[in-house]
Amino acid sequence: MSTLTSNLVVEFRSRRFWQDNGTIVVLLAFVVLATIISGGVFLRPSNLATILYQASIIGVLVLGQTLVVVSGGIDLSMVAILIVSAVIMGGAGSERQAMMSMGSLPYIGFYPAILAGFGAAGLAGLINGLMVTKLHIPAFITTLATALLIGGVILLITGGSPIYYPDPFYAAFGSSLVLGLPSPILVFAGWAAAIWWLLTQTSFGKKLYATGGSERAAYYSGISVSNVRLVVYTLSGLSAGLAGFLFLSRTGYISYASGGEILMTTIASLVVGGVSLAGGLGGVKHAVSGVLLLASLSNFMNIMLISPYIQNSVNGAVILVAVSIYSHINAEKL
Amino acid sequence: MTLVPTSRTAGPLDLLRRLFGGNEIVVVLIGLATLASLASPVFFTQTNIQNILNQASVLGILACGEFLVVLIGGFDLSVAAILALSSVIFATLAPTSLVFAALAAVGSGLLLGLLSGISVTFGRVTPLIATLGVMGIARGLAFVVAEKSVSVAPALLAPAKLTLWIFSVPVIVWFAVALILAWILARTRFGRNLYAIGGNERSARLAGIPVRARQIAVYTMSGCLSAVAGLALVARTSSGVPQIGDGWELDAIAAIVIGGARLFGGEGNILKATIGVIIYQMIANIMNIVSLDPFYQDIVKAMVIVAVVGFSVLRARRTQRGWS
Repeated sequence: MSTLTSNLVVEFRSRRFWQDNGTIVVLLAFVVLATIISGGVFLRPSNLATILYQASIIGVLVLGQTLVVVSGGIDLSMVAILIVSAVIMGGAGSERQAMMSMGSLPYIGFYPAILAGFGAAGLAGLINGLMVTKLHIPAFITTLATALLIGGVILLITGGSPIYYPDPFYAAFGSSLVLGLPSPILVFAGWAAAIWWLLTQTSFGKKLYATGGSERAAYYSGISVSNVRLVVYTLSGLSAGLAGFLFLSRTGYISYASGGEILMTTIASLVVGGVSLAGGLGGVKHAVSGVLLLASLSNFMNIMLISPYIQNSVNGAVILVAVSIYSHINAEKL
Repeated sequence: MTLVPTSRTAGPLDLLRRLFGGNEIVVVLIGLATLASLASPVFFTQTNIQNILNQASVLGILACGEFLVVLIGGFDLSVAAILALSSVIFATLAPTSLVFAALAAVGSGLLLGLLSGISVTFGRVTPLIATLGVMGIARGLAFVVAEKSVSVAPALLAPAKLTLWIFSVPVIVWFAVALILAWILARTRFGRNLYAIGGNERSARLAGIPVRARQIAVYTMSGCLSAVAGLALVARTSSGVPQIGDGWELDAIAAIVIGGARLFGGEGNILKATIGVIIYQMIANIMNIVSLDPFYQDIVKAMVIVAVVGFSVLRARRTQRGWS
């Protein structure tokens, strides 16, 4: 046997290989399988573009969540932040909406509204970070409470009515093409590149992995664990704001009740990609491959005319199976 | 992040504890009720008290299951979704046979709780994520069973609509569940094991307690109780609703923490947790009576949760001194 093949065999049998590339292998296998079962429909360029387009909103959220999870936390308020920032961008940035609205959201102009939307998203993230680092409340309780709080704020500023008439810019942006690809896909790709750079090319990235790997060790090595956390939750909030911008571009509509199933899909994508919820493990490669796998699965179920309601259940089951497999693979990492 | 080991000094909390023998929660309950009666004459009427208990009953049964899971050091985020699933199963099948419908609903909760338990133990999934996954499964199934809410003819539910003075059937079920669990936790080997597991899982295992079996049993019990809460919901509102209960898992956790349970397991008393549920519901009731804008009510609730949990974490850090 040649050394190349034996090297490959060794590679395939190593735990490390599956930790790093397990999801990509499954994704490729799934694409082949889905293409065969759907008689080629799945692999059409138009369908692949649809998958990427649908994946872009979830993808931006998952990238933000990856930062939080790698640091050892979790952010369950991202969907609420997405909605509040989209409500501000769409509601306060459109004169027509401001006239129709029953709430107290004033018209402040298009660009100021975008700034305010991102500002609110960053602020919400910062509040999460402060509660986790200063009050030491567990991340999931903090962020669930923030979600509840933001839900109240959304009702308060919209009076409960949806945003129907955002500025026409959003619809135009959502359907615009750059280099033949819908713009939201490029936003997703750009954000992925930025997060990749942050995680792998900067000292902040190293501190982030150290914090997630062992908070205590990181603390004793002189890393300001609190500051890392504050930045991470703020960036997660900003990611949710960016996702809100994309959501508004795609649907031209946002309401208090939007996005019910998004949270489950983001967590599922993350764990399917192999980002360890214990922290310290996983990166952009994992996050993106998880997002693509779940987006492909959901697209395939749509092609096969499977009820959208059952997809929430499928995502839940996928979480259980994927986390279980990965925690067995990772078990002897210590 | 403070690393200074703090010694236990007698603070005002300890003084309270010595005065009331750990039953401060009753004092809080009475104090809050007194304040509310002063704020509004409506509060201390039979109808309103009956109302509070009725509204609290569903959350109360949920909280009993959640209490067991929190006691062994876990969390169960699936309780509200299982409640929703159970409510639609019961409401859909009720016209055929009430008993069969109730068994099917509780059976669904049992299976989903079992799934959480197996995922946590043999699947090595952390409780938070395992129950988040089960929450997704249950919620999806609820919509598969019924896309919209299913109403049940009130006549069909007549036996569940009886009231004994201020106690309706759901309230009686709630108190019965709490009392039985209190007995189990205090007097049986199984119950004491749960405290041991929550206190220190590793020592519990080394002491020969079948930790995995106990964990599976607890998650299964929590699933069943969530389903029973779903039945109580149908008994109260005469309908099963697939989207009901968003955020109730957090309410349940907050209520039992108000009742003095330690958020990270090993400590707590289910009867006090039950009083915690009543207090939590009372706060909501007072906000209604003084007609606070419902939009602000969520915000107040979020603040109560953060305050209560924050206080509980501070207390845990003080008594444990060290890393948390």
